[in-house]
Amino acid sequence: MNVINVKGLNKTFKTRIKNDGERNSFLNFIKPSYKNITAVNNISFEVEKGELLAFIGPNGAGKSTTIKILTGIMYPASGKISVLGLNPSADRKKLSYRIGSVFGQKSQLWFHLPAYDSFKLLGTIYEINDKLFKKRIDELIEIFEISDYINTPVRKLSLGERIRCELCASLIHKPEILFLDEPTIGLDIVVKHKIRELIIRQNKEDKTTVFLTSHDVDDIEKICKRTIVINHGNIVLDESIKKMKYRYLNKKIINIRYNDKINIPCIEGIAKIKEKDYTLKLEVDTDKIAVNKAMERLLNCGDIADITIEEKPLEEIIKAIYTMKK
Amino acid sequence: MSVFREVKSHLVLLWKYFKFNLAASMEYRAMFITQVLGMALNNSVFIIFWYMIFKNTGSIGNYGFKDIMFIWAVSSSAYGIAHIIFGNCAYLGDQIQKGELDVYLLQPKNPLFSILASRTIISAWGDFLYGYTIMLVFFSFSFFNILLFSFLVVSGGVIFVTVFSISESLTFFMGSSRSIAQMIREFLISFSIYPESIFGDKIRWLFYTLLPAGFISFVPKEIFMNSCYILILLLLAADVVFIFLNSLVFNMGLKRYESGNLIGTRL
Amino acid sequence: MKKFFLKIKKYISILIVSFQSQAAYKTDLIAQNIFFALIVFIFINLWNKIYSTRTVFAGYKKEDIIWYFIITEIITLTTQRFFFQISRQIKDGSFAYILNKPYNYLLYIMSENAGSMIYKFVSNSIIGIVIGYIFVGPLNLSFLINLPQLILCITLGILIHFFLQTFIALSAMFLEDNTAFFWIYFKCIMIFGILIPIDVFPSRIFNLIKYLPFAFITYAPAKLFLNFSYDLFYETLLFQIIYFAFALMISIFIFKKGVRHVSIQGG
Repeated sequence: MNVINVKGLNKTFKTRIKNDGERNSFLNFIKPSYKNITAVNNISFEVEKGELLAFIGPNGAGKSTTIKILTGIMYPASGKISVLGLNPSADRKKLSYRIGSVFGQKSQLWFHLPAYDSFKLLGTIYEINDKLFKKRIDELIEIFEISDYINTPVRKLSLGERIRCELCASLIHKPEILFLDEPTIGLDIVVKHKIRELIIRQNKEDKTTVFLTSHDVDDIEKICKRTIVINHGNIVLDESIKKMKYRYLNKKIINIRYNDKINIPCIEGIAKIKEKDYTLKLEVDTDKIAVNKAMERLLNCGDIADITIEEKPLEEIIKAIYTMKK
Repeated sequence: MSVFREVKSHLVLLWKYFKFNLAASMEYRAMFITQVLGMALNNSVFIIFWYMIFKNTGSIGNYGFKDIMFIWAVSSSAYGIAHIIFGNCAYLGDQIQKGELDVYLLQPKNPLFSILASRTIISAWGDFLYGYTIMLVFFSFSFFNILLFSFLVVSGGVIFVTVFSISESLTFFMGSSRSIAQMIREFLISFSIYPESIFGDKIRWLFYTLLPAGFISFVPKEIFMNSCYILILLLLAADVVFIFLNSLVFNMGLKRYESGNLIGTRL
Repeated sequence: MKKFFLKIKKYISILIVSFQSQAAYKTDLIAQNIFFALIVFIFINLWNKIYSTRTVFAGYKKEDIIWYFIITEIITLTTQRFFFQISRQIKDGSFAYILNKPYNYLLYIMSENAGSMIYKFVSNSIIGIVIGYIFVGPLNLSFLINLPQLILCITLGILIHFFLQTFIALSAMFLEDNTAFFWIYFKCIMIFGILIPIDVFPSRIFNLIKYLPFAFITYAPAKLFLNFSYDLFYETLLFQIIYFAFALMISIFIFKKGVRHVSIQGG
């Protein structure tokens, strides 16, 4: 069953063109000239219930615009959008009862009060009755392991503690879709790991659909099963992560250390990335040369002291997609 | 959902906001006390000023010393209650520019209401209590008087909140409206604390339209000091009109915000 | 000698740069002009109304009492908002960046503000003269004979006001919240100098306050304008120099103490 249905979504912005120079500024003031910028260009996609989706793209690609349209904060220029069967901008209020959000930079929690007070306020906002609220919040506190600092003012919490509380706050009303925008930004490795665990757990237990935006590749790899890449307002990729890695898996990275200074001859399909003393970092294009053949050639070059073979990291893959020309 | 239920849920929310705002203020107990006292002292300077004026002259227009004390009291408490309960009315513009509106848009409650109620200004307690203190000192504070005064304070508070909120909402239309909003604030407050009788008729119409100091101070003065109770209806009508205007301007601005075409905001 | 000139150049360039900065700053300057015009307008209306039934108020003619107000407002408005700027710098720590730079902090804030202070003084003077002329009639031009002395006293008045505010602002290095002290200071200036000439107060009170620093920021310079006499001039000058030196010293003192305090606290 689809929880999100986007067909032919378009969004353009009118921005004022600012011309340089005194004379132009003056003319501009009297009769401003506008330029149309296409933020989102005719995109379509569907999301099923319980999916873990990464919605990524370089800065300025149209991500935030799309999320704002999906949550009803912005209305589209054209296109059919349905989130949980509702039109987000027309039924924003109705929809807000059923979706949750964590925006890395903006907080739902009150700064000077303990997180627990913010939870209580949210309980009132979402009109959850007291008994249900108590049960739900106790549940969440236990799962998120935040009972130690639930009564400390938010301004005294570390970033990791605060984000846990934000995540908890976003789930009080049991939303069916969770929109996460950079949830792990600024967190240390241990906390990041914990947050990812919590998100995955939430998805497993309550079948909450997760719509994640992140610049952290590990977030994407560890949490999500599917990714949509948007660039220049267009969807350039919409695939499961597994398939994506498989497709771009034609490159392998080989780190090899010889016992002696070696001169690698020019082998087709093998490119030298780095070279230092006896160590080489090579990129093998498996479309051009099979791995076993490449290994054979390299072994024949000399005495190998050490060797590692890696897949091209997801980061590189994504970087390549981002920098692809329009 | 019925209108009644909506109103009730928003009132419950308002109460919760008020409770939490108060709790947050109490976190800064020392600052709370100094701000309250500071404000009270602040305002007291004008008592000395007017006392000296009236020592050397008779009434000004149809305003005597007690009349001036009254308009000070009512406008001070009205300003106070406006900023205690809807403290964000002075910061709405900033919040819109910083995109902080989004959090409220994603919640199932009226965003204007929520965003206004989500902050309290500690020093406003000073203004609020000051008004009542003046009344206690200079007037006989019977139960009826307290009730009437409180009604006038609430009505004036509505005017303050709506006018400030409207001027801050101009940010939707013109980038940073901070200067204009600041100007409107200063004008409105300034005109509320001087007797309208010193001004010519040509500008007095201002006080009942663009800078409604008339509904904050002058009409209440007629009601309280001269027992012109029929004017209560006028106040109620004014309140309704301004609440409506506020809602209108804000929603128009919100449409613009939702189109994403805001000038100068970070998306 | 060359080093000295380089130093001066440094501070002058700060002055020029800060004065040339962006639009928001410029609208603030215009806004304070408008505020000044508003308050002068209100007070002219007030005095016009009071004088509609008399020709003398506490020994003052209408023109004199209005010009008194205009002059004292011009003097004190030159430093408007400056307090909040310093307090904010200290609160948010950007003060530390300035300390890192090779300038004397106090000279730095002086040159940063000198530009806007000169602008405010000149623009408000023009506005004051124009509004005064329209509603009251020309100022008795006899003051022009003694213009240099008057400029000296006004400058000293402004400097005392500036450094007393600096002193209070720098207390932000020690206190969580120092705005209450600012309000107290500001209100003292208002009542002991701006709102009404302090000789309107009963003589017992007048004798107490006439030697306070507030009187030498507002009352004394304004009186010299209205009625110059060398006796008053020399007395004013003496006290102004004493108070200026005092204000400067305590500012430097609290600054030195504060910097040490801040570095121990870690900012």
